[in-house]
Amino acid sequence: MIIDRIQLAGKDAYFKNGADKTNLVVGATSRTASLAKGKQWEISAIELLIESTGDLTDLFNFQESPLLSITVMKEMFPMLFADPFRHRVHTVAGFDDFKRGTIENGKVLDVEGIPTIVSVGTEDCKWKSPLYQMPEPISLAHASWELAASRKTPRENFKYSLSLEIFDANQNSIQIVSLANNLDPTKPRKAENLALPSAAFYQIEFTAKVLKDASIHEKHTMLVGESIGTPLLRAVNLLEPVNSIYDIHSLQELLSLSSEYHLFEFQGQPLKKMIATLDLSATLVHSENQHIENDDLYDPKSRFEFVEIVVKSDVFSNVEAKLVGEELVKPKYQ
Amino acid sequence: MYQNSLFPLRTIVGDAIPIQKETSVRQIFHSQESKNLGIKYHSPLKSSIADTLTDPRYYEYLPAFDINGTNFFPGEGMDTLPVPPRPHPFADDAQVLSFFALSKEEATKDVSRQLSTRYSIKLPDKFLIGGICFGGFPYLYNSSERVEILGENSANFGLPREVRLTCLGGTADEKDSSPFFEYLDEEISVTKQEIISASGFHFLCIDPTLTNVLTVHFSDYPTILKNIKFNNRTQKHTKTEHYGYIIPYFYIFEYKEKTRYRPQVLAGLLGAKNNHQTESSPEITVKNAFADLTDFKHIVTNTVIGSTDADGNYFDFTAASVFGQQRDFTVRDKIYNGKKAKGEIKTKFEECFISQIIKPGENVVLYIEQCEEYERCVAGLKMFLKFIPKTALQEDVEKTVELMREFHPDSPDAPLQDVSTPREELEKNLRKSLKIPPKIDFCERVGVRVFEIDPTEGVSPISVPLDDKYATLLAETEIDRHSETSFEHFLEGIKFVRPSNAKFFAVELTNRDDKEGQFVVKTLNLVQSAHVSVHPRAAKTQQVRTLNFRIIGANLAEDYALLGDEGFNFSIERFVAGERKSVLFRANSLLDLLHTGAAKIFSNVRRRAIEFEKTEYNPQIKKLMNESGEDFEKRYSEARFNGWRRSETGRGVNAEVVKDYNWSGDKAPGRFENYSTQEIRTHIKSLFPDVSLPEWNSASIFTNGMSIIYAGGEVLDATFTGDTSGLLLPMYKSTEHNNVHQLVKGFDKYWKGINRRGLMVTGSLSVNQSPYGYTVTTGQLLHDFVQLFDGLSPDDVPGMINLLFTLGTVVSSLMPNSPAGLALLLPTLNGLNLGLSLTLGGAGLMANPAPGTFLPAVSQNAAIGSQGTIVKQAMKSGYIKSQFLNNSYDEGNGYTRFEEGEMKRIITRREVPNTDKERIKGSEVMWQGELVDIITGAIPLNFTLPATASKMHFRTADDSLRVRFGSGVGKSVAVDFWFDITEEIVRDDY
Repeated sequence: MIIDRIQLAGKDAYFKNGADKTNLVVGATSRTASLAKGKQWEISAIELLIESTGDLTDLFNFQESPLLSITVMKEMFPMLFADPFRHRVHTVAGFDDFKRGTIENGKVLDVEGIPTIVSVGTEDCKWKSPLYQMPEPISLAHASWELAASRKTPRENFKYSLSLEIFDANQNSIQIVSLANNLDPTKPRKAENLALPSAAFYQIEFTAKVLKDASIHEKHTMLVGESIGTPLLRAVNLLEPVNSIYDIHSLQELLSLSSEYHLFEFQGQPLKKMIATLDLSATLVHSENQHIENDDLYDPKSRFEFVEIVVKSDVFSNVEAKLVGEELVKPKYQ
Repeated sequence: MYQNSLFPLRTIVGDAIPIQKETSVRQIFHSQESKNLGIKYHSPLKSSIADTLTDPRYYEYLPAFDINGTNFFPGEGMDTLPVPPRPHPFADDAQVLSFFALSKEEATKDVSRQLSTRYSIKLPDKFLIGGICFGGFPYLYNSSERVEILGENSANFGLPREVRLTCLGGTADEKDSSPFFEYLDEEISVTKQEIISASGFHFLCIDPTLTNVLTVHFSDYPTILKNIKFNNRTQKHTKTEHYGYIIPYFYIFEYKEKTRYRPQVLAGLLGAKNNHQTESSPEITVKNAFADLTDFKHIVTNTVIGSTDADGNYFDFTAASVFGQQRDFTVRDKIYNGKKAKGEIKTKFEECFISQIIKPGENVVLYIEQCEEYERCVAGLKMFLKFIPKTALQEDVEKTVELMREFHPDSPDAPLQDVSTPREELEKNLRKSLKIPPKIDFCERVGVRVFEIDPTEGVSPISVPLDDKYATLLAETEIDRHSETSFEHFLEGIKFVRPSNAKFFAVELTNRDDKEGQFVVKTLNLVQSAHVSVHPRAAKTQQVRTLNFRIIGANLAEDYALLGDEGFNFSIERFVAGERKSVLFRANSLLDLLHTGAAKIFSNVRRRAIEFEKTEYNPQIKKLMNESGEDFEKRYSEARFNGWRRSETGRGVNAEVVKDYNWSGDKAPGRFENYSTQEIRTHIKSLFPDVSLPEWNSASIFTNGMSIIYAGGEVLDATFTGDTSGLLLPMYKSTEHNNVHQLVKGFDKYWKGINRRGLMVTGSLSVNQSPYGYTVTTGQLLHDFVQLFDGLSPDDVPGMINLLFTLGTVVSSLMPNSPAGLALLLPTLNGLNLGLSLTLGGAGLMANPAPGTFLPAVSQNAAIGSQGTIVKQAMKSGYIKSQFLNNSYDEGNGYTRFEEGEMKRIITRREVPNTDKERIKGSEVMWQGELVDIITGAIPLNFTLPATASKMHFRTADDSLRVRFGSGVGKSVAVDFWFDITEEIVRDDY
């Protein structure tokens, strides 16, 4: 079956305030609703209408707080919802990282084209990463890790633990945070809101107790007397919060991010109205892992993919935002 | 992202490598836990696959059941392993290695991963190893709990879950050779580890490696059920399991790339499940003890169950048997216990899959796996599902016969089945023909759904629910008519909505009847697509980067209007949403293929086998070609010829030869001629007779003694040295030269074929006789006398001498005692006067001839004896003309070696009419030892097939690329099409 793509249109394409009105000055925060299963929005831009009773040209200078703040919430990693524009991802993976660390009862093999720590023998498999030194201390907000086995793997197959140790500039250990403690493969592979102090160094440790073999079919170097166990760790992703380019502190920033804009200028009169097409690429889709807490899209515990816009209050008289994109739907075979 | 290739048409499995002797297989390691459990290992070598039919060890792997004190043992035939149906991966007479391991101790805790062993296999010679092929025992008992919880088969058809192959080959440069293991990063091992293994063959392939030593590592042993004890009192059952494995088939094969194009795809069973709800029963009985199993178990006992001495046999009708390994069961009036069968035969059965009794709406799911080294494109399956339909049987039988005639027009008219017979009777006949137990209750309306299964990593394929996003429905049908049961097996099969490249499939059989029944499946086969295609998968996004093709055949470049002798042709088509969106490529001929530039051809040179060739060389040609040097032929040659030659020349040569070679015209040779002129100069040396003859010895002694007067030095020298060559008469004595005569000495080999014993020089003996003797007739003498006077002239001195002679003769003849007889003494007047003379200068031999021949000596001599001469001869021919016909025969081996030659010439070649199609081929291109033409090509595609299970997948799943073969693949070409694909796993569930 083929179903046409359609352009987002009508009122559904507009961000709305709490009163279902399109002027976002009132209400200040607006986000898109969660999409039903089988629906996807491919967003390419946000068309903005900005009006002010004052002179908008005054807003071309940097403002301490953002005039507009746009958040794109995505399931960046399975079950971990975060804004990719507001996070820098530190990915610890690959032969280089795995082999520079210390490994016991394991081997780094190319499994399905991805370097993977594979347990060897029957004892606990352990891997400790090298100590990573950052140019400046960083804060780490979330973590996600990838295992070769999916979460549909039987829980009896293995148990594992993952910890993150952070150090100050003098390489003194500040804190060890347990990201996963004796988890089975069915459990979520993420740790949110870590609230860690700044880290000048960090190090990761992974331990696994393998109880059952998994499927593997690979070439490798000679192993003497050892049986191969289960493909385990493939990557650890640490998310460092950073400033987003979509925290727009001036209209000049807005125009530079826009592919098109128009300023309604009249000679000798202040600039009171402008439109801009803010380029923003995001695909929103329903996720089996999403969760709306209390049926409230704005509940801090709600996890789903959305685009949110926050307009600075008391600056504009009217701000309207419309999504530019396409809607895709697919049926489910019964 | 993972670079992968899809090879639906390729096989790399060559011939099985002979191991030759059992001692070449040596166990070199087994783990401590293996020792703790007392695992016994065996690795017998069998001469052919037929020898694997029986083995006394098979019985040890089959469980016994104790139901309330009655023991049920595997029945006769259960402990056999029928040869798999054809096509076999290897020749029937290829040696088969079997591996057995079974623990003495019971498995009380999960230590399977701590069990391992390793074997070293020494091959009789170095082979290019492609990998190993092995297969398990398809009939082992499987724990349903393990299937549900872990998705694994407890017995795993006897196969260890991890098998590793290491090839201990080596490499060498010009200075040294080293084994592979000395390289720290040489990937010489390949491991195959499965959560669950299929009942069919398994291939573990490695990069082609030339070696004669390899090791095989087995670990993670399955559990073999030995006994289940059902306790009616506690309503529980207790199992006794042992660790071990059973690998009846184990081959090492050579690497050889070939085309694999045949309908049947080798497959095996992963496991069978059902959603059958068993009714709770207050007591465990033989009837309900096995009700939760999928496979039907036929029970026979020797007496009434429950009695103290009751024993029984059981016979399994397993789902794994649908792939063709179906055992023959024998029921006797005595219980079989694994030893020699006793008792009278009561009945015989033949195994097929029979399910337990399934209620309406319930199902049985068979999870199956492709069992070849690469996944094939599967277009559907054929299943022989047997029952007597309720619906429209009469018309359906007629329809079946009609359609059979359509597909097989030459088949004889089959008599229509007599459907007036009651159904019960027909079912009875069907059970009898199938050789299955008499109480089987057929399910008569069966829903069939087929799914492809694409599990995520770490998940067993049999753990994937059929309504999951990782299971894609490929076919759905309902079978309740006779024509359907027949056609699903014989003709149409169950076609998928699209071909599938999946490794795993699930076949769901649902009872859609209104009463309970049993599924009876005689056979099930996966059927390969006639074409090659790539389709979306559930768990992986595929970026199809390139379609590669390779066509190999002896006569590919023979005619540009064809591809091979059978006219192979293909097109590459893109289908989206059921439409053929584009035909990327079409080739009905070699010219089509080369036209687009996507293909390269490597072909052997073809040239005319028959040509007219003319060679010209003369000064004009040299001038034309600006060649100034001399024409020359400097030739050094050696020639050797051993053999016979027969030649016949001259008049009277075989008439047939004259007839065949009869020149005509001006240059006709006419009659035979052979003439020449020559001048011959001869030098003759007379030899003195051999002095071993006494008369000549004494004569020579005397003469040489006399010669001392003037040649005293030579005589003295001869006296002291024995060298007589300087004497007046050389004295050669053959007895002093090993009886080699003077005439032979130094010339031995030239007297070949002549008896050399008669070659002694003995001197000559002359006999003189007077012509006036009594023996001369008078008439004749007178006549001669008159003749003399008639022609005599006064100054004819010789004539006068002759006259005197004649006169003397005449006188002597007429008057024998007359003085005229003095004439006979006249010759003596021609003697010599010899004497010694002494002068002041010394002594000397004086030889004075007679003062003259005053009278002619008339004598007649006859000589006997021998005379030796040496002849040296030079011959110069001033002119020879030779002209003759030959009828010759030569036979022999010749050898000629030339050193140098040059000839400036122009060669003109012209076609010979009507012989242009007769061509000879060069030998530039060879493939696997055969002279062939090769066409290769790569067509860039770069399109993406998103994973259908991805939350981001919104395109149609009905998207594929197909290589369509217009008329199949003939034997004259080996065809391979494969896709280079980049795969990315969907991470939604990670």
